[in-house]
Amino acid sequence: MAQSQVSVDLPGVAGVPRSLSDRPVFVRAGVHIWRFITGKPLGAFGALLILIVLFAAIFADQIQRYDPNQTFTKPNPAYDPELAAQALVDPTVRLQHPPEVFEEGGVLNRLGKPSSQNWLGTDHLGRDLWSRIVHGSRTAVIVGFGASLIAVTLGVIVGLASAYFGGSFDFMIQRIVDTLQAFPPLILLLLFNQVVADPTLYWITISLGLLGIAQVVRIVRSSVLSTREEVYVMAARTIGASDTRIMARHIFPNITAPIIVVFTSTIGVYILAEATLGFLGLSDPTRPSWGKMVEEGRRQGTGEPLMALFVGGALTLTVLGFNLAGDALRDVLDPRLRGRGGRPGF
Amino acid sequence: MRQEDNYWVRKLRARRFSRRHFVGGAAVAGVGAAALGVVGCGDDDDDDGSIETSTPSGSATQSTATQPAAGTPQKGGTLRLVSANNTWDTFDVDRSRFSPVAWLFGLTNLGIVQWKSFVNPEIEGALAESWEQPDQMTTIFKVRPNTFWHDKPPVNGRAVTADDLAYFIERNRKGVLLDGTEDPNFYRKASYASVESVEVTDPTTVTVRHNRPDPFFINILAGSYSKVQAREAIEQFEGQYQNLDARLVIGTGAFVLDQFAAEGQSHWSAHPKFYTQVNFDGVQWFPLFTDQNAQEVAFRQKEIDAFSPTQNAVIDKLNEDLRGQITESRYFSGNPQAGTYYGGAAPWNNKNLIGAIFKALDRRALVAGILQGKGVMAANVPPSQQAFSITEQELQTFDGYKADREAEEREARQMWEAGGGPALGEIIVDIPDTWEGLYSGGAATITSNLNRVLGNTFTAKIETYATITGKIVNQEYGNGRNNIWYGWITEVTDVEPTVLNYLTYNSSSPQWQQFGVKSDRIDQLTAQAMTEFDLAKRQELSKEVVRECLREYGAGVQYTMNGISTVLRWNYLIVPESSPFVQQHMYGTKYWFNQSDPTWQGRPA
Amino acid sequence: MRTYILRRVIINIPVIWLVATLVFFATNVLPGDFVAQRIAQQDPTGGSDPALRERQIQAVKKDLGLDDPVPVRYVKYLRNLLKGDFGISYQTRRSSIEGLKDGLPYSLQLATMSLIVAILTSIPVGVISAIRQDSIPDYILRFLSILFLAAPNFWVATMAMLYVAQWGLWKIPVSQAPLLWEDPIGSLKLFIIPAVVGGLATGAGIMRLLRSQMLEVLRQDYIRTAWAKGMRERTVVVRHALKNALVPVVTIIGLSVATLLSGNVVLEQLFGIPGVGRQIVVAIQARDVPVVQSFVLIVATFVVFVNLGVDLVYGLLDPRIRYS
Repeated sequence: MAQSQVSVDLPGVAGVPRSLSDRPVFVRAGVHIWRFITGKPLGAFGALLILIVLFAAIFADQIQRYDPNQTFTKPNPAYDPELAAQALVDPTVRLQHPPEVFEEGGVLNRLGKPSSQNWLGTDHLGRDLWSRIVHGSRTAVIVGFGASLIAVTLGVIVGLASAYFGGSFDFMIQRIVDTLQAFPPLILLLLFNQVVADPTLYWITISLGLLGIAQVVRIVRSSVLSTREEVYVMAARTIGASDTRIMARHIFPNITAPIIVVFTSTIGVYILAEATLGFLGLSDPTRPSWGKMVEEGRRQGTGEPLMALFVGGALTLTVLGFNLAGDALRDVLDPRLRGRGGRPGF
Repeated sequence: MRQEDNYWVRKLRARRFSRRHFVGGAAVAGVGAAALGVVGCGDDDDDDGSIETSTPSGSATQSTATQPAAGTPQKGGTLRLVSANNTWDTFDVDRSRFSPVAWLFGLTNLGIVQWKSFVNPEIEGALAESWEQPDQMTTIFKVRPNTFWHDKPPVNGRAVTADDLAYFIERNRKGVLLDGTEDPNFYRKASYASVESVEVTDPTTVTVRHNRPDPFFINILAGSYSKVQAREAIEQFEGQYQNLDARLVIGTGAFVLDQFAAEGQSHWSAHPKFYTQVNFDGVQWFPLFTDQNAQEVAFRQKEIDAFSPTQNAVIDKLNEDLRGQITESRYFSGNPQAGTYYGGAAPWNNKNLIGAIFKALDRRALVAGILQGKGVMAANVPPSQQAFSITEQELQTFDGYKADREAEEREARQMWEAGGGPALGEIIVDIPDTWEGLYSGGAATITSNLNRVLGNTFTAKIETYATITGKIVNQEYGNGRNNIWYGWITEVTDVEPTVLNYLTYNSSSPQWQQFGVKSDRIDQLTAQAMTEFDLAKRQELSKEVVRECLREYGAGVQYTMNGISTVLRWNYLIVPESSPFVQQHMYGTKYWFNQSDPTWQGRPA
Repeated sequence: MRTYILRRVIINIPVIWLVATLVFFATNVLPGDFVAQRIAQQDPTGGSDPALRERQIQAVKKDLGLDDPVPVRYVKYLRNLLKGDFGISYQTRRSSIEGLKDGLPYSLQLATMSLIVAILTSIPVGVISAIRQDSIPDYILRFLSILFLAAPNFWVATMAMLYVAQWGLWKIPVSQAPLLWEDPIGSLKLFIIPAVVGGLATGAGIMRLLRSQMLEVLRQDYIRTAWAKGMRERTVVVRHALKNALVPVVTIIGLSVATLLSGNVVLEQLFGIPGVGRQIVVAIQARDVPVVQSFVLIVATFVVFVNLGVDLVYGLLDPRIRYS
């Protein structure tokens, strides 16, 4: 009888149920994503927002309608040729009338309302807001990802080394990190950027990243401290593995989960920090930056709230997306948090 | 504009009254609303917004007519304003150069003479009741009776004497401290060089003898820093003036400084023994509101009496919400906008290159965009000194200002290529951080304009003013470097440009070294103007200098435009006239609260 | 125990020295020093002879003590610090910490009010979010909470302030900035908007931490026992779960005490609150070096002592740590 029993274990044969791990990759990925969406709808929504922003950042040149520096005009019925002629001879005439009176032809369409020509209207210099917001996403993404990457990379190295080696080395590092973390980040940012004296995008990203190291170090350190005492680490040491090898092969894989969570959650923080720098006038002037644009719109006050609303909205949604996705990711990756808690009878 | 008498060419009859026509430039008529201690060039933040941040001080320039004065000035109320500029160097006004000090001393100290009006330019006597000039080399001042110092030690409210006036002139002329050491911080010493001797000929008369005829002497004495301090105060406090303490400020002006805090509230109260009525009980300056929104809220709630919004949208909203309750005044900003370069070496000694840049800048677009339409294209003499400048109509016939932008841009491109521009590669455009802070997007506007027309990569770089000035002084804009800058240029403090033209464009002036563009014609014109007594002739010479500078594509300083600023004021605050320049000395006597105006209701006491 | 404390204290001293040194050199590297900055802003192209200008700059520098070479200044700086002399502010000519002392009550009030708002909003939301994980109330609450975190606070605060003033809802005393004990009603009218805007954002952060802590605690065995015993949900949650979940949260709140000193720059600037944060930004931008140095040093020292205190408390609570 044994010989007629052929591949009893093959899925789909003789009623053996298929399991997910037998399906091709795409199906598996699809199923996981679907479960993510239904299980964590907020996180899925956040992921969707992130994808939209990334798409805008990468394909900015394609989905913009106009060049971000191009200005638009609108017809000017207030033009008075007589007064304009007078003004050419006597400048004080300009002081007695609003400026539109003297502008021949079209007048710059400052803070224009949304129209078919400008989907989201125009900014305070008459430039298309849609195009600028789309390009601004590039700045936001570069700053967010860049700073997060720097913070996480350096933070992991420092935290790993510090926690692994322990002792007074660890202590000194911890004190410095604690001190850095206690500082109002804005102050450190200002100092750093003033020293560098040229607020280009890359310096801002670097300085934000450096600031974020402290938090990553803290998280990494607590993970490493517990992993360090594990038996397999001791075993590896006994057989003579070098410190680097132990750190890389045995300890590091255990801390990937919190690192991923930190990485995604803090992107939003860096984007907001760049916005605040924009408010203080310290962002890169040569690129459309959401922070700068929100400040420009905010200055217009309640009379023209649309610009601030649109850019502020874009900024909010982006940060919202990263935060929601980061939260969901943490829920998923941290095994202690899975499932439904707080209810009897699980 | 009136043609003024020339004192030194004709013999004049001695006059007894204080009215004197101003000899220097008759500014164009137009009332200036002012630097009511409020923003001239706006600020953010710091401000810096922003932060912070404070811009070159704004004194206003010519402006629109304001409300008609409603009857006789009433007395009462404390004037409340925001201080827009918060940089202080010293409370020794002879050695100060920061505008807030001039504003403060305008309230507390009288000068020998002062501006009665900038609109119809006229100087009147202050501590001097009258003056006369019997000949070109002598000026005689009659001290005003019944004027008293503030009651603060060590002066303790004594009467003003002729010796006070003489001491003041002597101190500025000598420019030395009490122990005889020379102090370079007597910034205006050179202006008093024409004074040979000062004498108290009798208890009410001061006689000044000059070593050469000086057309500008009375102007100097009416200047914003030319405020008389008491001898005993200087003798006691000379070493302490940098401590910025309220007790160091002792004057004869309408207000007494009670309380001063560089980063806090400052308060003045009316001088009980001022020689005429002081219309306010006091003046209060509030902590620096770097943010315009806080100022707007304070203004709406009548916590401050005047407000200078920088954004049109805010002005429109306030005008709409508070229609009929507030008055808007506009004036030409005291800080013209320009860029400078060193023209003595490559690349900017090449007329094709620098001319291409000059032509490529679309000044109209800059006014429409950055200045929100509120401004005007300008050459080296700003609209506040219009009598000395060419009309805008004529300006439009020159390169850089023409109406046909397409043709200009084409020509600019051709010149650029002819001069070897494309080979220069990347060109750095320095922009001051405070300028970009106020005109957000301005740097991008300028660089994208130049990129589009000339094809090279013009990159904006934000720098502090200190760095930019250092580079200017070291001839680093040009001179082997592909570098230029744009921003605000020195503010307009004089009513006529003659002296500044000489200092900037005449090759024998040390300041000319920073720009290095030599033109024999400009040298000749500027030198001639400095010795010309006839006002009309000086105006013509100045116009010629403007034309020459335009032909030389700026001659080291490429002017672009001059903004128009706005001040909003509640109707209860009567400001019969404002001046482009420091006019705090008029607060006590010419400004007042109309307490019967309906808007006076609801104003916090 | 004594050696533990002693060791901790001694090791912190070089940290403070390190911070002081770093601050000194960092602020000395700032380009465009105070004097040149002031003069340049007033007069970019120089209405005067460049050589004369240079003399003027030198005169002011001598006045401010900036003409000594850097190592000499460093030694003077350290010596003064040991005497308790923090230097004179270039801007205000008063002692550099006087401005900070004046600003401290305002920053503390804003921070305390923000913290109260944060705690009042975050704890209920965090608890509900955890016990009703992945339910509709959880989604809504978390969404709203994170929405406040995500919106740029300077924009929200500005709009709130302007609309209140425009609609005349209440009078915001921006020009007086009254403190709570000077004028309670007036003070509340001014501080309520920034406190709410700042507090909601901070609260969102605390909420997320609390939520994850609660989720973890709720899966513990002793909770399961409590359910099994038939306890009411409220007792289980509040008496058992919340107490344990709050421990790390309280630590975070405690750590943020250190940031109380520094003030919220953005909100202070918007509302004209003369607090510490705004002063520091102004000082940095004006290159008022003594003020920046003093501030950084004071905050650093304060943090070091707070951490020292925390370490000591841990040492008291957990004997194992004392011997590590």
